[in-house]
Amino acid sequence: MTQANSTDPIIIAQDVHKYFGQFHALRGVNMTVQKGEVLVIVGPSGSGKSTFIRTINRLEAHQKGTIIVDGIELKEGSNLDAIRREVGMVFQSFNLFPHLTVLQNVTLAPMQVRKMPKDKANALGMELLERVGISEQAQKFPAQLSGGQQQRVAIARALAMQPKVMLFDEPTSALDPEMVGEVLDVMKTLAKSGMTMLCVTHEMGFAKAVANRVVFFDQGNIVEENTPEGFFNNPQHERTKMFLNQIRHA
Amino acid sequence: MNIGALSFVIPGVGQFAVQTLFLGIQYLLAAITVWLVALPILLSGPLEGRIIALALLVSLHVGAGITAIAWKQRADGLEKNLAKAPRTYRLWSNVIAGLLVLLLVDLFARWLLSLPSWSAVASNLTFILIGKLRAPSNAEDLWRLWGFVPLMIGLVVGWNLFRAKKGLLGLVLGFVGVIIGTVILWPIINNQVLGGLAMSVMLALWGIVLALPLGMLVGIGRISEIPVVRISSTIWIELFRSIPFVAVIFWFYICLPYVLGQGTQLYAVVLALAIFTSSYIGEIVRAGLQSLPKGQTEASRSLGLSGSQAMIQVVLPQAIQNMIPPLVGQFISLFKDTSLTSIVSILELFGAGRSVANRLGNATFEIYLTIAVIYFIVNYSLSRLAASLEGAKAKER
Amino acid sequence: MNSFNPKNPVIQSLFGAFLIALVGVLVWQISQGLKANNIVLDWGVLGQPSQITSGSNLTTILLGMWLTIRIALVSIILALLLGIVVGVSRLSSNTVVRLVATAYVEFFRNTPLLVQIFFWYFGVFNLLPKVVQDSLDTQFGAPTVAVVAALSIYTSSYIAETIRAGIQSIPKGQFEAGDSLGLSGFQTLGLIILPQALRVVIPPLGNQFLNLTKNSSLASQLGAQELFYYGIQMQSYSGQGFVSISAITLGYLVMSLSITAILTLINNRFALAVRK
Repeated sequence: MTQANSTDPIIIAQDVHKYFGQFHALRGVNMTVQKGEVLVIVGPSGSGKSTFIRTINRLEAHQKGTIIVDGIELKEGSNLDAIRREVGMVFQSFNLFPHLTVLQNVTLAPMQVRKMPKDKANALGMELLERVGISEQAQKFPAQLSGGQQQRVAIARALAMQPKVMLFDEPTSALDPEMVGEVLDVMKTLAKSGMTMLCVTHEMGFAKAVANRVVFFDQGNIVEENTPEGFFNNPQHERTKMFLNQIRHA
Repeated sequence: MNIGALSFVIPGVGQFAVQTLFLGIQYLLAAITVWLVALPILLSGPLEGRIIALALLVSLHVGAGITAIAWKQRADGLEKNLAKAPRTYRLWSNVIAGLLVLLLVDLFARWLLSLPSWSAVASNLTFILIGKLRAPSNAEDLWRLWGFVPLMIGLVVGWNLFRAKKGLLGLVLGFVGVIIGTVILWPIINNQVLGGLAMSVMLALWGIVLALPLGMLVGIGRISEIPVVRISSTIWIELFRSIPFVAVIFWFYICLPYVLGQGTQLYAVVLALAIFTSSYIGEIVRAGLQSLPKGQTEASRSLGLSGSQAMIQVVLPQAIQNMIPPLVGQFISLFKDTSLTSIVSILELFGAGRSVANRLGNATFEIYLTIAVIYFIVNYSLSRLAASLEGAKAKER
Repeated sequence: MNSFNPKNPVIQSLFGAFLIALVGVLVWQISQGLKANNIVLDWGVLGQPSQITSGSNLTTILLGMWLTIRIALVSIILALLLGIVVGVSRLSSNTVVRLVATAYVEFFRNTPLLVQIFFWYFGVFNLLPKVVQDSLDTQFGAPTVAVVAALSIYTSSYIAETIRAGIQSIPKGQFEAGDSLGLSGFQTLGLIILPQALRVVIPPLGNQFLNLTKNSSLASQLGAQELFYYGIQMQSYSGQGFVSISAITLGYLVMSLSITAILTLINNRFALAVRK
C-alpha cells in the first residue's frame, strides 16, 4: 500500500456549509487530504457526500467556510478554470460527449485548454486509452460502448489533463454488476500509481483494498474518520455500526 | 347457412344477428352514407363516377357479409385463428372507405374543372410567380432572375455547413454564392418590379439570414448568468412573441422611414420579419440548449474548459442537432408570414394573387386555391426535408 | 490572469447603459423625424369622441378587444374539438381515415392563414346557398363567420399534431400495466393514459391558444371590427399613427399576458412532482 506523505496537504476544507434553498446540505465539514492519499467517502444517500466532492471543483458553490485546493482558495471570482485543470472528475452517469469519438472525448480538453498540438494530444489520448484497456475502441462513439467501457473512457478523459487530484462520484453505481470489476481495476491501478483520489462509492471491497482512510458522512457532516481496518472491524460510532449492518445485509 | 350472410342484403343486420353490436351500428351508418352518396351518381354521373359508385356499393355489401360470417365462425369456434376476423374487418373497411374517398375526389375534381375562370388564372400565372418583371418595360432585367441560382446554391451550402459545423472553404464558397446572387438581383428588388412568388422567396431568405444570428444571440442570452443580458433578451423574446405580426409590421412601417429615410418600406418589412422571427428562434435555441443533460456542461467545466469553450465545443454542436427540425418549421412559418406583408401593399405571392382577384372580379375561388396550392407545394417540400433530417438523426442513434 | 468577469456590476451597468442609449438614439431619431414632418404626438386622442362608434376612441378600442376575445373563444373551442377528432384519426388503424387526416393536417398547416381566410370568405362563402349566406351575415357578420372558420381549421391542424404526439408520448408499458391490473380498455384510457397525455399536451396547446388570439388580428383584412381593425381606423381618422399602434400593441399584450398567466396556473396544477 502506498504511504501518504503526511506533511503535504493538497486539499484543505474548513467549516464548509452548503444550502440548497432551505435545505442545509453541508453542515460545517472539515477535512484535509494529503498528496498521494486515497480517501473513500461512504454514507447513506442524501448524506451530502456527493455534494461535498462537487464543491471541491466548485460544480457546487459553498456559502460559508473555506476550501483550498493546491494553494488556491475557492471563492467567487477566483480562477476556477485553473483549479479545475488540476482536479479531474468522474461522474456516476459518465457524461461522455456523445457527438465526439472516444479519442476526441479524451483529447478535447488538452487541445482546447492546454493548447496541445493535435498529434501530441492524439498520442497522449491513445496512451491513456491503452492504460484503461480500450485503445482498440478509440474511433467508436460513446453510445457504441458498454457502460463499463464508457466509464473507463471517462477516467481516461479526466486523466488527460494530468490532474493532481481525481474525484470519483459513485463511478460504479450506474453499472451492471458484471462491469463493476473492470472499472474498479482501473481505479486500483491508478491508486497504486500514487494519484490523490477522493472516491464516493459503495464498493466496500475497494475501500478495504486501496483506501488510506475511510470517511463516513451522515446528515451533512463527517461522523467518523478511520483507517479501513478500523472502520470495518471496529467502528466507533453507533450510526456507523448501523450503516455497516445495513449494507452487509443488503 | 351462416346467419351473418344477412349482411349481404342489408349491411349491419348480419352483425346484429352475430351480436357484434358496435360493428353493426358502424356498418348500418356506413351503408346509409354510401347509398346516399353513390345512388345519385350511379343514376346520373359521369362514366368513371358510375364505375366507382358501383364498385363502392358492391364492396359495401360483400364486405359486410363476409365480415359478419367471419365473426360468426369465430364465435362458433369453427375458426381457430382469432386474429382472422378482425383482419377481415380491417381489410374491408379500408376498401370501402378508400372507394368512398376516391368517389368524392372524383366529384371534386370534375367540379373544379367545370369552373369558368381557369384560363384567366393561367394568363395571370407569370404575374403571380414573378410580378411585374414580366412586363415589356422590364424585359431587359428578366435575366436577373438567374441570380436566384447562385443565391440558392450559396444558402444550401451554408446550411449544410451549419449542420456539419466544419469546412471553412465551403463556408466561403457559400458566402460568395449569396453575394453574387444578391448583386445580380439587387436592381430588381423593389416593389415596382419584383413580385409574386419570387418576392416571397426573397423576403423569406432575407428574413431568415438576419433572424438566425439574432435569434441565436437572444436565445443564448436568455439563459445567460449575467442578469442584464438575461433580462434584456427575455424582454425582447416575450415582447415580440406577445403581439401579432401585423402589429410588428405596422410599427416598423411607421417608424423606419424616420430612421432610414423615405422609400425604405421594403426594409421595414424585412426587418419586421427578421425581428419577429428572431424571438421565436430564440425560444428554439433556448429549448435546444436546455434539453441537454446538465452533466455535459459539468463534465466540460470539470475538465477545465471555460464557459464559452464548453458552449462552443460541447453544448452547441449537440444542441444544433436538436434545433434543426424546429428551425425548419420556423422557416415555414416565416414563409407563410411573408403573406402578411401584402397588408402594407408589398406585391408578394398573396398580394399579387389578391390584386389579380380584385381585377378579374369573378375568379376568386380559382385564384385563392391556386395561391394556396403554391404555398403548399413550397412548404410541404420543406417540411418533408425536415422530416427526413429527423429520420436520418434517429437512424444515427 | 482571467480578469474579465462579465458578472462584474460595473461591466453590467455599462452594458445596460449601452442598451438604454441605443433605444434612446432610436427614439430621438424618430421624434426628430416626427418634428420635421410637423406631427405632434397627442395621447389625448384616446379620450376624444370616436368618429367610428359611440363613446370615445378608447371605447372603440375596447369594443374591438371585446370582438377579438369573442372570436378567439369560439375559435378555440371549435379548433380543440376538430383537433382532437383529427389527431385521434391520425392514429386510426384504418389506413384511409389516417391518410385523410394526414392530408388535412398537411394542407392546412402549410398554407398561410391569410390565404385561408380569403379562400373561405371570397371563395367558399359565396358558393353557399343565398339563404344560408344571408342568415349567417345578419346573425354574426359574414367576415366573422369566415374568420372563425379559417382560424378554427388552421389551428385545429396544429392541435391535431399536439394531440397525436401527446398520445404517442405515453410509453407502451403504461397500457400494459393498466391491462395487467385488470382495468378495461376505457378505464386504462381514462384513468391512466389521458391524465398523463394531458400533462404533455397542455403547454403546446396553450401556445396554440395564444397564437390563435394573435392570429385573429387578420380578421381586420375582411373588415371584421376587432381590435386591430378599429386601431387602424382610429389612425386614419385621427392621423395619430403612433398612438393607435401603441393602443393596439398594449391591447394584445394585455390579452397575451393574461392567457399566459392562466396557462401557468393550469400548468402548475397539472405538473407532476419530480424529485429534485
